[in-house]
Amino acid sequence: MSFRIAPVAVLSAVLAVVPCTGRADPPPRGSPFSEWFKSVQVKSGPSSGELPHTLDGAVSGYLDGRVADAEAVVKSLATEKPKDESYPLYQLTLGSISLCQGDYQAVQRSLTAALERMGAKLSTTATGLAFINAETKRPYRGFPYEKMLAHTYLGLAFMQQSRSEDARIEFAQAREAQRGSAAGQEDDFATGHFLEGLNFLHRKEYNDAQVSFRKVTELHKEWPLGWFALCRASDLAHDAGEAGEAWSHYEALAPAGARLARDGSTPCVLFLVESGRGPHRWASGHDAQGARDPKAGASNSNDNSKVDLTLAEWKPTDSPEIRVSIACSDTAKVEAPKLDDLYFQASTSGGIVGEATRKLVGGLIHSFFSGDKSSKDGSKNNDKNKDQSKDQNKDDENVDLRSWGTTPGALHLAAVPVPAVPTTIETTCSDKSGNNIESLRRVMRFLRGQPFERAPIVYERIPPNAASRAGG
Amino acid sequence: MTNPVRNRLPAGLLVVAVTSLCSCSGSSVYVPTASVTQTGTFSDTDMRMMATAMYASLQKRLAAIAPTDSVKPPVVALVHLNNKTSEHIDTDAIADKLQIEMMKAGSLRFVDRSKLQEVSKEYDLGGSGMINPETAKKAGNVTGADFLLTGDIGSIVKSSGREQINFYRLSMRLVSVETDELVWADDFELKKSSTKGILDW
Repeated sequence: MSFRIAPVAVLSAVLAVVPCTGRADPPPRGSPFSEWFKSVQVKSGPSSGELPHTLDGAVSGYLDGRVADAEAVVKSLATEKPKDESYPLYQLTLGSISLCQGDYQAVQRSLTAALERMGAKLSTTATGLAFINAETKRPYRGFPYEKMLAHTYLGLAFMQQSRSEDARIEFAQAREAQRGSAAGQEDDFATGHFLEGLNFLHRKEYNDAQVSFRKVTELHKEWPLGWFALCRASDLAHDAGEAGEAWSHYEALAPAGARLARDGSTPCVLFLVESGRGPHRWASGHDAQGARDPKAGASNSNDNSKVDLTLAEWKPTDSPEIRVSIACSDTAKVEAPKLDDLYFQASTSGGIVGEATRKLVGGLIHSFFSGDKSSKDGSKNNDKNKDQSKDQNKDDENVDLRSWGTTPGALHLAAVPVPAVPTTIETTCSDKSGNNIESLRRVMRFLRGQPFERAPIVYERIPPNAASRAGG
Repeated sequence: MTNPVRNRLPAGLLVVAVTSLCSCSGSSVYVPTASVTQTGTFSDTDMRMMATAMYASLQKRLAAIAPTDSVKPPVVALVHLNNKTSEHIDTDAIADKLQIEMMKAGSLRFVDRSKLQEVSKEYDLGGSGMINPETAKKAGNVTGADFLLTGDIGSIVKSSGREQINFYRLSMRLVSVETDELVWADDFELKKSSTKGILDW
């Protein structure tokens, strides 16, 4: 057959990409922490060499602490390639970086753009055309846990700008995006529930706050701060019974020296700390480093007549467990416990059946067109072209392993009693054996505590594999 | 010998491809504002339906509490409609549409309480000596409201497999300022179902 379908398919794929809608936002406003974060990251990160102008390059740069360099790369990718199939990943990454720098309006811009693209309903034609492409060339639609995290960060960004109504909506959307099953709950993302409860407290909607904090205590019965928050919300809602019960749990769990006053008057600062690297997708039959196993899948890849049914599965990434402690000068350390492990939140849209169906249908359509092409080439003999076609096909048939590379592995939360006057706070991290990681010791000055309901929230990121990077 | 069907196949495929590609090309046209927008989430059609239903219900009730032959229709202060859904809905647009319809019908008068701070500044300016005393407005003439119009819009979203149900409920209330009596209340409910395609991802 002399008809060449490949150019049409490429053209179709380009046209199938959902156009990005522009937004006009006011100029970004920096937070008081942004300069501090930048200085820390510049100190901790390697200083030489340009990052590769790719998403992978930017992500690895970010995880190495080169936040400003990573931001420059991702910003230019997002600007230059708004119709790229991986565009949402650029925006999600940019959102992470902006959050790290405390630029909440930029977080809002990036994450809204990413969520719009991931949530846009594709028409039947667009879906059909997307299936002509290999998996890795289809528009990136994201995973439920990514949407959940993006909505949560958006909510946090709104909260930090005192836009509690918008924050409430984002936290509700985060709940809807992820209806987890790992812990047997309808939605089991405790950090999201806690932040939502806090936002309800800001809005003086105490009954709703009670509901959110109750979910937190159901998910983490041994976490004192959850009980304290429930006690505060119940007291404010004039629910003496629940407040009393929550307070007795708090008293039993929290060490006497680090307790907050029941009336919420103890000034404190809330720390939301991310650690490690988030869940990643690996192709089944490939080694843990993500390199393609030459024995697995290779035969399928080189045979145009077969559809490579290799699927991807979620695996936690290697990063030593890190304990995070925070202390005000001369006071006892407060542990920031791990509230959520993002690996347990990771799942594939439609489950394994959905992925297999998409893989099968996409593979069949793709191999039909590829098969046409190779038979035509085969009739013209030349082995060189055939080999190139095989190599190309091998690349095309790779399992789609794209995911949000800057997702944290775990989220830690703690309320640290801090005087209402400018105070210095130190955060320290230790590895599994309890040894302090000196490179991750951070000092923050001029922080003032506020009563629990109005406590400032400090967001901090601890890069993955910090212990090994610091020399063990 | 060549197969005629086989020879025509590429041309046929080309026509199909071009047709489908043309259908994907972007376009922008005016459509009637009353046309129905079918989406699984809150849309302009829902907003219009809610405002229209509330207008009809309130108009009916007003016939009893403020007859149309009364010289001065009652004064209403509109209070922000709470958005309790999980979508960024401009609830003020619903209230605004209702207010415009009521004013067009002449059955209610409205006072705007959202700009009181600015009005107060204007009074201060009038008393500062900067403003011509003949045009300066004196404080103490702001119209008091007879009723407060308030409400909430809430939603319940449930997903099961590929199907998602979005339930919206708008409830509105008219409260007498003098007696705190609830003189009118009504609600409007919408239930929308959307289904994801088998291959959607």
